[in-house]
Amino acid sequence: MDKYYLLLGIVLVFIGIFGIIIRKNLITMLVATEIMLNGVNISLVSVSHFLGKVDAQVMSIIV
Amino acid sequence: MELLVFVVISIIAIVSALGAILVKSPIHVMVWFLGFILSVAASFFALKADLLAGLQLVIYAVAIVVFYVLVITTIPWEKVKMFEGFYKKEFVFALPAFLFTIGASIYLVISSRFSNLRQPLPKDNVSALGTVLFTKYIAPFELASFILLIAMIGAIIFGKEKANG
Repeated sequence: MDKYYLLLGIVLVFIGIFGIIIRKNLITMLVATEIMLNGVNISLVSVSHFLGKVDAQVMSIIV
Repeated sequence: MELLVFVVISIIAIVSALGAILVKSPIHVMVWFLGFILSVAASFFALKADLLAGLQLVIYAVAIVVFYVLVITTIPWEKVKMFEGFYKKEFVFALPAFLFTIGASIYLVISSRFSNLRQPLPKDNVSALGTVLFTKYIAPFELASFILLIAMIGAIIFGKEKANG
């Protein structure tokens, strides 16, 4: 089950990179970076769920 | 049931993220981004990270979206119009690379076997997270607050320089 959320995080990070590459507008590029950050957050939280520890969630707060 | 929740959340998240990077007007981008943030918060709830889901709703869905909309309204609309649209050539070249890297990493994650270290998560997410944050990770936390303070001072200095001329 946690693997699926890891996949979701990976797909979101790549969507963010794609958005930064193709857009001209600076605000949209900032939104794409936010999408990348949220993908990383989902990956961290899914690993935290997988290991049963909250350390990864602390790193997600710092992100 | 868990799988159904995941499928719904991930479809909403991916569709709204794609909408946020493919829609033309910046205001529409912000609306798609708001939907994306809400779906991410839902996935945090599904992964039993209650505190992070609440922070996601408070910080992103309220503060950052309002901040971006304020920025959009302060910039003159002609300047926003000037940078509208896509880089066409980059779009054509990046799309196959994008699909290939997504496919390769999905294959890697699915074909790999994870180590079996599973423990049950602590019952009270908020108190467990607070305990770890203020004991084990107190040094990175203080460092992050210090860096944010420096960034705030820098922003004030730059703003003052502009106001003075």
